[in-house]
Amino acid sequence: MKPPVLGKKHLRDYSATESSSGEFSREIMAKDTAENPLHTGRYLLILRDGVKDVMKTTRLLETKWGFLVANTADFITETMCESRIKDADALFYNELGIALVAADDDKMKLLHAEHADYIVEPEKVVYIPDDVTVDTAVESSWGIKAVRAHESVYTGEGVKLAVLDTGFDVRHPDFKGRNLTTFSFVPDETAEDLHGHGTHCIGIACGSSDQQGVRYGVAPGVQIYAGKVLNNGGRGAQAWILDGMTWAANNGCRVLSMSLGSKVLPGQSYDIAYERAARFALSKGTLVVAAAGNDSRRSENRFSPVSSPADCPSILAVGAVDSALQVADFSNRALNQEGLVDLAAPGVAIYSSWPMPSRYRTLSGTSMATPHVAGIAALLCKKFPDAAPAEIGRELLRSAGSLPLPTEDVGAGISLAP
Amino acid sequence: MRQIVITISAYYLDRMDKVADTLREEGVTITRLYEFGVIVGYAEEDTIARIRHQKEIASLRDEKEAEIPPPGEDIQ
Repeated sequence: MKPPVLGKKHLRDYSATESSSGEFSREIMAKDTAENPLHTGRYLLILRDGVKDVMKTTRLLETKWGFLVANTADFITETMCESRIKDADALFYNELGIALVAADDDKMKLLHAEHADYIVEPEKVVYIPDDVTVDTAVESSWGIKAVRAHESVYTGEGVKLAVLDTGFDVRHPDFKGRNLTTFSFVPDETAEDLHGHGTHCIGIACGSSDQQGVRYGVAPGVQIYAGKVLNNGGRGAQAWILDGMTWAANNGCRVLSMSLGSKVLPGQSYDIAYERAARFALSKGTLVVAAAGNDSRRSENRFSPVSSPADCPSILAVGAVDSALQVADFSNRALNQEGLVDLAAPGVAIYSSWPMPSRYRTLSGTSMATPHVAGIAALLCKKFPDAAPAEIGRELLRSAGSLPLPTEDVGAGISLAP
Repeated sequence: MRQIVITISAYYLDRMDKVADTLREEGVTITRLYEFGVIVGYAEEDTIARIRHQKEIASLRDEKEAEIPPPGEDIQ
């Protein structure tokens, strides 16, 4: 039996390009059909009256057209396999009332002639669907483009930007030659990031591009201050965070990014100790941004208030949006009086650095949204070198792109680079 | 014994050292003292009950923990 033509590659759906460019699309389709044929070149004869016509049709194929016909009923004691019927032109699936026909083209023409007893259908090639994962569904650098960091003339050169997190992988090759200061506030742990979260957040705020030139960092010119305030298990005492905030402020960092927090209950007021620390930072010239938190599940109608310390009046709280600029399912809402969401930034499927040897990872969370805003704040610090942190904060809100979404979810809108 | 975070009223900020001494006398073990008026330490329940309503103290709370998900989680 003639073997089927199966092609080599997976079938792709080019229907999207078809509408935009017909000519191009037809070329693609022709090429694609050659590589990924829809049909095998063989045919199925489906008997109108089913099984009871098998003998009659077999006789017709053999006597009238000279076909060599095999039947699955011939293979009772062994598994039917096409390689056993190399010489046959047709194979009848006895119990199905269907014949697979693979004959020369001129013989096939005879089959297509009007005959009421069966329907002729081309045999289809069956494919595994293309894999669609979160990582490839959206462009890796969508966040950078959404905040227009790639179009900015500023890189934040020389601006000190602190990230309080799980530390940093200082040996990451993408950061070779960068101005880098680390400090661990976690007892018995070095600043080395054995979690990964810190390296990812620092990548978004301070990174540049990957080996392929895909940009993932907002402010590639900043001086990095990596303060480890969460241990390798991702937990940190409030004192370590207060230590880190003091450190960043006393070291002249103009921006402090905190992708961390504790869950807050509806009706709960902000923590005055964090508020004091934030005001101290502001007094020293440091603007503080923090993650609004990931406790909500909007798809299940669950909304949680902005977490602590982002709920402090003197800290900018950042919510997350996806690549369609919709609020992320997990992003918290301004439910408490003081705990507002000030800004939104990309926080779904965000590609950034990860400790070696992985090198990169794509993650979601308000933790990813926050360093986008921190990076943009650093660009603004370069644009307005003498501005006080409160002025940088006001400029962040003023220059944000408005979104057709509730203020309690996205604040002033999506943060945009100057 | 509880880990606590005490925030001093703004009015007493310039007398932080004196406030800290008083708290120590009351039985608070101070581990950190921030110039912006925050004291971190630990104390027994009866000490906490005694100092909680002192006029120098704006707020007394249990020390919080901040937490992020483990590295394997997709939402961070």
